[in-house]
Amino acid sequence: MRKRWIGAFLGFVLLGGVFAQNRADTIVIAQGVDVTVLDPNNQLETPTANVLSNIFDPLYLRMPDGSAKPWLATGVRAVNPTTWEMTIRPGIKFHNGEDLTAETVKWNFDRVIDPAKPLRISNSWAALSKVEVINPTTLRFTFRNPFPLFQTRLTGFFILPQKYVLENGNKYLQEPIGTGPYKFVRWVRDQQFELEANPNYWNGAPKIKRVIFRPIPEASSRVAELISGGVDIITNLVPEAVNAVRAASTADVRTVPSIRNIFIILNTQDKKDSPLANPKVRLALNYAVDKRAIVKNVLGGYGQPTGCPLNAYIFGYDPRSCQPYEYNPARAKQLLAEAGYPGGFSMTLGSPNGRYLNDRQVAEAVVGQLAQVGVKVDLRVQEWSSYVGQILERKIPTDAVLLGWGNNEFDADNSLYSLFYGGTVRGGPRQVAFSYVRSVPLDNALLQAQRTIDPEPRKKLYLDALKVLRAEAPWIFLHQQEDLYGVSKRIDWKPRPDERLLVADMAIKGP
Amino acid sequence: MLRVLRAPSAVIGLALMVFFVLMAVSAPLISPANPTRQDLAAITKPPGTEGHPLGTDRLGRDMLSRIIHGARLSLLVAVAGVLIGVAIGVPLGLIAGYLGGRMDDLLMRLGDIQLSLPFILLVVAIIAALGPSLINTILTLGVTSWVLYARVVRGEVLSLKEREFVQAAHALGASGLRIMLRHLLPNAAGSLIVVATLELARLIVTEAALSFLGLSGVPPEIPSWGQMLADGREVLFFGGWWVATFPGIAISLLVLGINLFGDALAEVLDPRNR
Amino acid sequence: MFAFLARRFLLVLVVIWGAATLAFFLLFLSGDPVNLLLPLDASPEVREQFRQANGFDRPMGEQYLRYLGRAVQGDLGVSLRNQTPALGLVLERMPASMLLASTALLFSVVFGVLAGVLAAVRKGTTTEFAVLLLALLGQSLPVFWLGLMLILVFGLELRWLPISGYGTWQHLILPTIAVGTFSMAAIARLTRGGVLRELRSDHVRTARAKGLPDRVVIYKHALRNAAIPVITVVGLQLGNLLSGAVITETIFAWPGVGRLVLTAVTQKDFPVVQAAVIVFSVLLAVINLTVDLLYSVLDPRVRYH
Repeated sequence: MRKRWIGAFLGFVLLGGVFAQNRADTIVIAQGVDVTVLDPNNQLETPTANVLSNIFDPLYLRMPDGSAKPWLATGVRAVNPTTWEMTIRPGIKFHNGEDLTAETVKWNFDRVIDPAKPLRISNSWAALSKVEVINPTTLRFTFRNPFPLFQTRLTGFFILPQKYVLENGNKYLQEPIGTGPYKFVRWVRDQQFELEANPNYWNGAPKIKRVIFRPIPEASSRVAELISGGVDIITNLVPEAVNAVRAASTADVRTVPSIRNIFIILNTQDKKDSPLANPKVRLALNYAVDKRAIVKNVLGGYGQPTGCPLNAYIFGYDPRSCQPYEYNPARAKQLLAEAGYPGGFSMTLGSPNGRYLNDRQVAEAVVGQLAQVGVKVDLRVQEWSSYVGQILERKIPTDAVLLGWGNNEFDADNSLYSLFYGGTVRGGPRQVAFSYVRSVPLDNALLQAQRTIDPEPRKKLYLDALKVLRAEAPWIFLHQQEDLYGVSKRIDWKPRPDERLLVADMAIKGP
Repeated sequence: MLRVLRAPSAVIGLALMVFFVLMAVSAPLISPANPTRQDLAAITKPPGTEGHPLGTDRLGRDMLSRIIHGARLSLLVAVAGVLIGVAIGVPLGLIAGYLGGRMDDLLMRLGDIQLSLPFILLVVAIIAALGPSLINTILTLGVTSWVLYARVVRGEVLSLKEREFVQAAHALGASGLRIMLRHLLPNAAGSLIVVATLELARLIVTEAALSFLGLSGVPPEIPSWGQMLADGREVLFFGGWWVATFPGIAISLLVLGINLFGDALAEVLDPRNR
Repeated sequence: MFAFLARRFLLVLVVIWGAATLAFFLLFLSGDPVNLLLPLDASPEVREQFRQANGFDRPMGEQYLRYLGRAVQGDLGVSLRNQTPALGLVLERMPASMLLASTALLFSVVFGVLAGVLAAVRKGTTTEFAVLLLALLGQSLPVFWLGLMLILVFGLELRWLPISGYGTWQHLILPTIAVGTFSMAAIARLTRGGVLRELRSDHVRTARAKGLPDRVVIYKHALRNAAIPVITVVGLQLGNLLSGAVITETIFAWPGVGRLVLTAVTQKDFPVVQAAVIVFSVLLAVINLTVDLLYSVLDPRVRYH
């Protein structure tokens, strides 16, 4: 027994040599959490997707401006409103030499829409009824209804090697093989995930030879590692640490406006006689919150005040309907008086803690500002899993909840339908969990937009929807976040709005 | 009992405890500002800033006032938590020790079961089932700490119940309940008090740990040292050392006081030291 | 002795069953796991489909019996989040946890006992006062404050030691100090108390009267008897060191079991929590048994019936 312990100890000491690698052609990236699952179509966590999108290619790639560009697919074309044809890039090979064909793509879709074995992304493809192979590079997709979201959803659809998956049992979950710029080397859970360059990548061999992803949960430890040169890129840098990173000679701060908006949902329905049922009160709350001051002081200036659920990346965004409500406490007081609450009122607000950038501090600042116009808010901070559970089950114990929404489809449908559809249309779908608005014109516009392929009329429908929301003010609109990264000075890289860490975009400049 | 004050360390400990209790009781009178009043124009100002002797936090609130008010929460959580733990653990320990046999086995295994469950699981389950609140946080801390009291009391009872005075009471026809309450409990009180002081200190630190993990149910408008400490960790290295340091010092001093006093008490109460 | 062990073993099984059952109901109480497994905007139909696929739509009693039935056969289920066997995930983390627990224990026992003896022998001097003060401070420092400070000083300023991670002996030093300080302080205080008491006792006085040198008296007689309460505390602490090092593991990115449990609980990964509870109860039983056996080695008066 004792000998075994000594052996383990010696092994541990010797292993140190293996871990201390030559860093010249290696990049080390630290995220807050580790990878969970190695099947890119059966996961939905950003840190996992960040690692896997280096191994696997999607059919379309999200570009920095938010658009979707053909990637493994060379294009799609609507044959009629419910039928699309897709062409596949020829000559692509997986890391193990397997060929990518239309047949492979069809198998990947069949796997996702198999009702017996739902995967995490199956929800996005519920409208797809079948996929047929027309010739080795062309497929035909048949949908149950017109499906304008086809291209944008293809950015989240990755292609796995059919033969490798079918013939090797669960091996694809341990040693993933894709078509991407990097090949899987090894993964030691909660320690590191190693990749090496794929020299035969169809889009040209990547510049950086080796990649190590490390999970470092504590934000301060990540910053310390960056400054001391232990890692090259860190995610979710806190605004408070920006000056320290800038002051260090080794690293710099890179930011990009995020696709995520932060807001407060007002429960206008569950409680009888709630002041929040009155649109004037809701408008007053929007005027009473100083978004600019919150962004400047609580988020270190890294954010943009918003006045609608969308942001500039998103299809359907309209600058005029999204103009932030000005900070005007006098007007807020006046509106409250008109609504019959000259002395204000009391309400409760829920907030998560650590889910979004300084979320609890943002909520506390909102509480402080609402107090200025006489609205006394009781803040209840809650652990995320039960918080989100209550929201999804529509059992929120507070009058309002602070929430963030990263629209990963870059399309208004994913924000407006998913968060506001009120179920007022006869024969239509049920109300969504997040909606506390009941407006027939809004619901009609949202449903119609889901079935309109042509972008122009579709945009018009979302404009109608935004106008309803402007009048209703169902939320307190807060801000669009900015993603903050700490990046070593030896790395050349520009962050992307979809939070992906594509190492093929990066290069090592110096030592 | 007063013999304890002969030790200088006990006097220091007691003085620290009294200091914080007084601070908690008179918080609204002595605190220079409203501890929840934010000033977004004056965030993370260093100590010595005009009107803020200990600086301000990340929302521009006065650190000194928050420390003073935070004493209330820390003391409340610790004292209430210990009382709940004692209320559950002591009767179970008495019963286990006095009745012995099956009952003893059952209760002690129950204790083992409790210790096998991750503390975090209990915390999250209680938040999910009852909602986040100060009372539920205290409840969680209290309920999970009964095992220690039960074990200590049981141990004392096991050695006491064979002693003559207990045997005599038994022969005179005293009921089991009477023997437990009149004879066994007072004699076990010494070790119990010592353990309770240690637990007071532990609960204060545990509340801080829950805040660190984002699992504390204490509402944000109540200033809490633990929450202040957790909030300050992001600015600790980077231009805001005071946000986490002052609540850290407050926790350390209070816990130090309790420990000093508890140690002295232990020495006085230990029968082997007489 | 054999009957004693057999009985202990039976009781351990009862404890494991009890812990697993309680954990099951606590998890049930803590909410629907499907909420977090799917995208927030997943439709109710898709959620229902997922619930059925995982058996979460069955009545609680049925789910419990099925879980118990599988557990008896050694099948603790598959992690909802990682989609790999739950028991494997827990056991995979044990070496890192055990390594940190043993170095922390070593650190705390060596320095704790040394400090405790020093304080007892030098009673009434400034040495005693300094040792006591340090020990008390060690028990009152919140661990994350200590951890971050260690990173700041030794990792960032002096750059002597790695800031986070796992792999070499250098990585082990800072987490060991962070985890071990609390136990070291407790052990120092207990040792001091025990040694002081023993120094006043009859047999030590006899030993001294026989003319044995002080060092022998302290180490052969006093320390041996003072060890019993220390071992009790060490036993209690060891459980904490193994499962309760969450904060240290978080700060130093140490791949231990505490962090795994934290994520599993907050993500409602039921099978992983269940597996961890069972592993903990087994470990706790082993620790308890070892402590009891150590008692009987150290003190022949302790007998088992």
